[in-house]
Amino acid sequence: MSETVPDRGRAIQGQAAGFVTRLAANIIDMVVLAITWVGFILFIGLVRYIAHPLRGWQLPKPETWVSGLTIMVLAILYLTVGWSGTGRSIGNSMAGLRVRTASGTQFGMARALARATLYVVFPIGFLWVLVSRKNKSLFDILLSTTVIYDWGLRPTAPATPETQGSARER
Amino acid sequence: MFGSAAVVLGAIGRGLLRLGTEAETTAGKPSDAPAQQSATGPTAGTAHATPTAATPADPTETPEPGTGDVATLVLAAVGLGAEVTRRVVAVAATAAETAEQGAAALMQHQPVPAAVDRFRGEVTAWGERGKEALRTSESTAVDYGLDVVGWVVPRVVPRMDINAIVDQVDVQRVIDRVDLNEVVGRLDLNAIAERIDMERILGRMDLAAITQEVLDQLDLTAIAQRVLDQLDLTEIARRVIDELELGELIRESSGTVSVQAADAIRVGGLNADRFVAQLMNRILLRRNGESHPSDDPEATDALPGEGRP
Repeated sequence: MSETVPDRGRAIQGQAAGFVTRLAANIIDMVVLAITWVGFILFIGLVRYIAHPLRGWQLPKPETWVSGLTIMVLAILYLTVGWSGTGRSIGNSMAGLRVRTASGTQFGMARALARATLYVVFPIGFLWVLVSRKNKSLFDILLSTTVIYDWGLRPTAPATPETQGSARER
Repeated sequence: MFGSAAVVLGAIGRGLLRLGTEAETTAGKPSDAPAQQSATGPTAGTAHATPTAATPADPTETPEPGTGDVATLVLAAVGLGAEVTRRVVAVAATAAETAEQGAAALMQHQPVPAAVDRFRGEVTAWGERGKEALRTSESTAVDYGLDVVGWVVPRVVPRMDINAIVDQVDVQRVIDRVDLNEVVGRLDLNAIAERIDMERILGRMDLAAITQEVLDQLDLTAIAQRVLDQLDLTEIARRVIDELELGELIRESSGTVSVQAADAIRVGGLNADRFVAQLMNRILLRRNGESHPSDDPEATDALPGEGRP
């Protein structure tokens, strides 16, 4: 899809994404996780109904801490898989973002798992984007990652001073 | 009335007298003429002298004695008969008129119509009872028939090899021989449907038991396998997909919607990022040159939403 980005729109590709776009991506991911959670509950209920049909259709009602822990685990798995694979979750894809290392390469499962865990356990660290001159969150600083604009399907290299200069010339 | 009768009777009497006189005259003419003359006297002889003198000399020209009197008698009898008939008819008419008046008076009398009405009501009630009896009998007959069917079917079906029967039936040949259009054209389906009391019929039948018996006898797996063997599902699915052009539809609809949504999020987010970055620069007292390159308006001048803060 990178080929479908308008010529002059390519100027921002690879640059560090701002707060609002990343917040939008996070909200979309939360919606996806909520849908996944509901589907998970329905699936458990279906399994229980198939196993014990005489008890009737009943949705599971787990304790609050169980629900919270399960949702956190689901979120960590979801973000880890997304970031370690294509570098983007569904929210990132919709918002046109991609998570990369500071050098622009794709990172592995371990760093993705660590970043996802920090993201879920300490979400307030995301607010550092507001005060960072390089639009970096605490997780990006700790794990040496960055989130860039990438509207295409194929990964775009992070912007360097040279590419930024050429973009401004355009 | 009596005057007319007297006139008729008088005419009859005169006719009879003349007939008797003429008969006597004709019988005693050859030998008893002198005696007759002496017996009747000069007046009578005179009286009869004229006709005698007037009688022609040829005996063959002498008129038939008593013919007019017979005719008069006959006419008198006819007149008498007619008068009697008229009287009888008049009496009968008077009697009929009297009877009619009496019957009318009787019918106008209150108890009679009331009795007739009661009789009519009784007849109507008995008619309704007869109809109800017919309906009850019909219902009872149908119920007994269904009971018999319900008793017979569960005992007959288990002994029947339905699969063998179905195998022996040449359904296609039967269908070919039936002119369904003609059959359907003759049927008044609405009338038939109105006469069917499905709830009562179903209530009388043990459908669960019958269905279970039939299902036990049918080898559904074999039937389904036979049907599936005859169907080329792959070809059918391919044709359906070809007709629908489903992939094209999904590609167009979902692609258009997702692209529009993504563009809206990206462009809106980008403009908002720039606004928030400028706001934070002001709050943190940064110079514009220290802001991130993505805050450069020239970098996104070709994007939708240009000019928004």
